[in-house]
Amino acid sequence: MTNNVLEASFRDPSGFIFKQNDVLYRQINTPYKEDYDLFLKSGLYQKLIDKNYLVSHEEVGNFSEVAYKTIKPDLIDFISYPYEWSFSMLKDAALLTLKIQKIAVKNEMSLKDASAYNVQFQDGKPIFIDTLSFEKFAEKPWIAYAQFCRHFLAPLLLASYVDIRLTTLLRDYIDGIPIDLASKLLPAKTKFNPSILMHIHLQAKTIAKYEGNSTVNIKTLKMSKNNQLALLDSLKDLVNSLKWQPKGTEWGDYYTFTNYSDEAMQNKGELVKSFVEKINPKTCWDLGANNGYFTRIASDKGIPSVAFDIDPIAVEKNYLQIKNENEKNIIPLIVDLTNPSPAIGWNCRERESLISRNKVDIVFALALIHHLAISNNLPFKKIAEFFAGICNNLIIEFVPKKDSKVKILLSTREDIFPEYDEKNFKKAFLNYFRLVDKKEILNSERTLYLFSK
Amino acid sequence: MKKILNLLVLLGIIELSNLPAQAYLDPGTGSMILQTIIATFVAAGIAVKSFWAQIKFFFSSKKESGNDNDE
Repeated sequence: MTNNVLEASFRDPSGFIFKQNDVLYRQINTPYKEDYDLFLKSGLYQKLIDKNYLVSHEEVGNFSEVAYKTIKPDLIDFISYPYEWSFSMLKDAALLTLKIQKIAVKNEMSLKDASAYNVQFQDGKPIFIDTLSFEKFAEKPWIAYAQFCRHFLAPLLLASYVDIRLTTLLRDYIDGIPIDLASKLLPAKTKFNPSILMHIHLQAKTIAKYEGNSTVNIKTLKMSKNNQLALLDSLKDLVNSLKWQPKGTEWGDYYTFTNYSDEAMQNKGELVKSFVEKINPKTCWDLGANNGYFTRIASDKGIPSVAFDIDPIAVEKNYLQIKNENEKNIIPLIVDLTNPSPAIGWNCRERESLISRNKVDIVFALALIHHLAISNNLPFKKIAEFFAGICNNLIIEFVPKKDSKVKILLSTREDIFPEYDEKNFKKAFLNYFRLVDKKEILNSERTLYLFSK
Repeated sequence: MKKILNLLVLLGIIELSNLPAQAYLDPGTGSMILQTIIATFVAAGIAVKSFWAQIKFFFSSKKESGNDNDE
């Protein structure tokens, strides 16, 4: 049974997540008995469930003699990682963690850790997934404070005050961005903000000062409940105050400056819809989704969909729309298709690479092929191989050289793409898929293909 | 820093207590100490704010809406 334990689930002696017969379970070990019982008896569990802050679970029979209990948690449609989230997604995940900690403290419990990996997105909202993260409250400093600052505060501050691209540092620093690094990267003016001064700059100094110091016994430190709540409010106010208002990137106003006429746009939407209805997929990935305009063709039908784009602005816009309109079935993520999230962590297995997370039923590759083939010099063969490895069905738009956007791509470089034509495109994909349907988009040079395995 | 620590001990903010160490996360000594300092200032700040809010309420004719939500 230990073979089925999830790779990331090893740090906490309270229990672990495992799969048995393809079903996900969480084992609760005996040392955690008291805290788990308190979690339920105190009403904290129910309070968090009622607010949709925590995944709910049902108790099932134990698979092991050493287990105190075994629970079956509700599943998340798609597992994503903090370095793939947009600014507001990270901000909302941070605020959720603080809200949960505040409610926990008021119910005589406290979070043992404040890792960003404890949060996932489901039905368009952040949700806490680590049911075993709660321990009995004690009047001592919050054990997870530094981790919260590394996983949430540091990247949010860096995105807000320096550059949004710094959130990808979370990929390099699997336990959050070191506070001293954040302190060095933040501009001097942040030292005049009392909150940032305390939580980042002073913390960097005190961490350095007490590193390797064994004379101070931290077990003797005390912090009243009132003070703990005050600290949480301070963090909440700081996170809430952080804004990211970027000047337009290349893709920010994409749909204003495409070369689709209204007629073409509408026709493309109808064609994608008809292809989706033909396949009836269970899951959908939209690659290069921009603000998710076409992704919603699938998600509005109740198909759990992921909208990937390289541009943080587009992903942010998508998320804000999801929030405003209370949309479910769609999650937007920041991904560079030419360098997608790799597997990271212990043994390179702790956090999964993007392409090994799920095999998806249908992929949309709309207005994408020319960016892969021309901007990134990828041969059709390699592109087709990539898609074949991730999905069973593919809706892909062929964009020919006579298209005005391709002309723009080729205007600044030598045309070293003699093989870039529809014939070779089709040939490469027919190596892996069969052609189900093909339709030209009205009032445009582009053609929509539907391939299936 | 040592001076601040001594001050805190004097003020009785840092005390001896018997606490079981069940942590599986290394919280970092510096971060733990800093928290106690920050929280003291923030809590004091909140106390001052609420004191002035009460003064305002006493002198105002409007009712202030109370906020006791969990969040």
